[in-house]
Amino acid sequence: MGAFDALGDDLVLDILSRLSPADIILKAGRICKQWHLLARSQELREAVARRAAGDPWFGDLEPWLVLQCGRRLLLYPSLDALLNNQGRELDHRSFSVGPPGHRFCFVACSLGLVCGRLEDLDQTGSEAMTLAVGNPLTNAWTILPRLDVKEKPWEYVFRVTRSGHYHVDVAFATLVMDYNSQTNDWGSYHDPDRLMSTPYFVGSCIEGIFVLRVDKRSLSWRIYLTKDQHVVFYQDRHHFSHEKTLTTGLRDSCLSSDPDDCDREYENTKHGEDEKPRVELAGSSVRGGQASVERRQWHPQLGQSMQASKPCQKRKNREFQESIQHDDPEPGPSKEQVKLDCATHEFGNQRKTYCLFREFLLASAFKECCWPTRRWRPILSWRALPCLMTSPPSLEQASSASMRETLLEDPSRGRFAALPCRIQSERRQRRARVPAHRVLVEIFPCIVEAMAANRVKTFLASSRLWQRAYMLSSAVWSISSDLPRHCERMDRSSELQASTTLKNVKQSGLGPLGSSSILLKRLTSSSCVIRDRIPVHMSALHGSKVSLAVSSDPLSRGNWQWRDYRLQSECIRSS
Amino acid sequence: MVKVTLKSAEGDVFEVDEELALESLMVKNMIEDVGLDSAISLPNVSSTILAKVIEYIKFHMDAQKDGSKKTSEEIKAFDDDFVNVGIPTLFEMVLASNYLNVKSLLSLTCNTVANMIKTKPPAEVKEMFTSAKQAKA
Repeated sequence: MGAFDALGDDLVLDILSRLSPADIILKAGRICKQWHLLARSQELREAVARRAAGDPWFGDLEPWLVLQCGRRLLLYPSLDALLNNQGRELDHRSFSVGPPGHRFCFVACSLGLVCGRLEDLDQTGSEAMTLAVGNPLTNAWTILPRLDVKEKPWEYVFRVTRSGHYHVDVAFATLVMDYNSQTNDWGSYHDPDRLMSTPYFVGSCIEGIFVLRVDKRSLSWRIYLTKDQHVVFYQDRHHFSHEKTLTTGLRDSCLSSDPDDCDREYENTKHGEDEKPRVELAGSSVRGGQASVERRQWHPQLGQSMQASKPCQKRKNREFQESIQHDDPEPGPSKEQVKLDCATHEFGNQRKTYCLFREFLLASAFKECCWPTRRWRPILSWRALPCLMTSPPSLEQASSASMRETLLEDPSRGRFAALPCRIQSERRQRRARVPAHRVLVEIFPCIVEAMAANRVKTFLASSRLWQRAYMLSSAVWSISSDLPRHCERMDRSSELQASTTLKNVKQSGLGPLGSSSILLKRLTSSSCVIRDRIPVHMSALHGSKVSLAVSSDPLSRGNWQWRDYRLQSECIRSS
Repeated sequence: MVKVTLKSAEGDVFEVDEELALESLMVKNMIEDVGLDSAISLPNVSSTILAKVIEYIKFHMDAQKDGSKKTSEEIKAFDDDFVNVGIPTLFEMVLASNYLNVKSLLSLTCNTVANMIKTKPPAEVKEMFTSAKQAKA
């Protein structure tokens, strides 16, 4: 028994949820067996999500990025790791890309969410496509309504807003289909430029640094610079001639290349032609309160920069380093701050090198970064990690308007915990000694349904107020398969006075309960918890008598029948 | 000022102001249930840790009062000094703050443990907690 066992799972989860996702994956899972299990648990993922939702600056200030090649996943837990190409291979079991059971083809990502096609749902050559959006860390996925298409889309844009809503735009030649998560439906418009002019966080985003998009087919790169509401956008394969400065005030800078051109030139090189790749550099700086965007091209044959307002320096044949020195006397950042370094461009081994910069890195020494761009593609990058997609119960499952409101409110703010007060209020209004859990089942059947969908179990286990309510009402319910563990945890943390006895009660003569076994857990002198996967949702234990709310169809509302059973040693029998 | 009597695991008695005692939700619930007449027994908290918890709550209550001259730097320095203890003691404080349900202290101690984990490689963390276990034994 390790020292952490003394803390209990709930406290360990609390501690682990304060770690960054990279630390959870790379460190927590390697401490001991218990941590290993907890690091992969859904509870931790949801706890991290809740904490991240409440704190926009949660986690590492540095971004991290996951690249995928085939089935391999490479994690860069920091910017330095990225620049030095010190990625760590990820275990697929600790990181899920795509909903389980589907063949997921990544198309875009933004702010910790990824979007991709479910290829197994679409037959080859069919005129329909199915997209899914999800959070790989919380492993929560939403399948979007099927989209009818008559041509191949030429671009996907995935935009996530701070409010948690997202848009998926699928651009065709003349038409853009737009999915809005608020309406859960597809719309269309005929203005592709709108995609580019919307100052959202687009594509694979390392927030505050830059946005990078890679077209899987053409391998062309598109660069967006983002900083708060400020966006600079570079498009087009050729020389970034169509860049748009959507706003000013940027201090970040970036470098990109034209892989298509490079590939073509590489082919030429293989055939003996003395062609070298061309690399393009784009940077922005703030001087005197005004932003300026400057572009560079370097071509080894010409040996000079093209379209450059400042000269660049060639270092080696296959290497270059370029500096932009602002020598004007205007007030603004120092020379060090606006200096741009860029990376080597190895070519013979098909290694292409790109660089990204940030203000704090600009003064640092030249660093090489290597993204083998041909085979590797960025899957996910984030900073404020899984602030979204924490699996709220669906609207369809919330039957009453009030319950809908309750269920959909942010659990991290504790509003869900107000529910017990409402139950108590309801009981007072009835002026009858009705058990609270009966009130809850009768008034809020949808909560049971939500639990049937296994969506609110964490609230039950983590909310202290909810635990208090549980003590008051002497009822705890869950459909979760790991209920006993939850109960033990609740028992420890809330320090129930009564001794706890766990009894595995084999089913005997329970009729509608089916063939699965029931776990009865006696928590206090008059409370009891039931657990079963489907038909039984609620129970109460009074001495040797147990009341079970039984429904033949758990998803139908108001169809509960209370049945009393007697507890006889290890069995319960119909009374 | 109404006083509340808290009894530690060793049986030591601590008399504290009701306002201070109510900072612990667990104690607050106990007071609601059993009243102020009898001493509130805290069998899971040792005298040393209980004294530290009371010290923490008292400092922060004073700091939050109107007219307090404590700056945020002073509060932070106090917190840093407060958790600058051995790992076994830190663990006991985590457990006590969780048991007593003092959220700010629980957050402080959990953050401290998390920071320890962040800054050390896994092998060191493992060793750290193993030594904590041995020390506790």
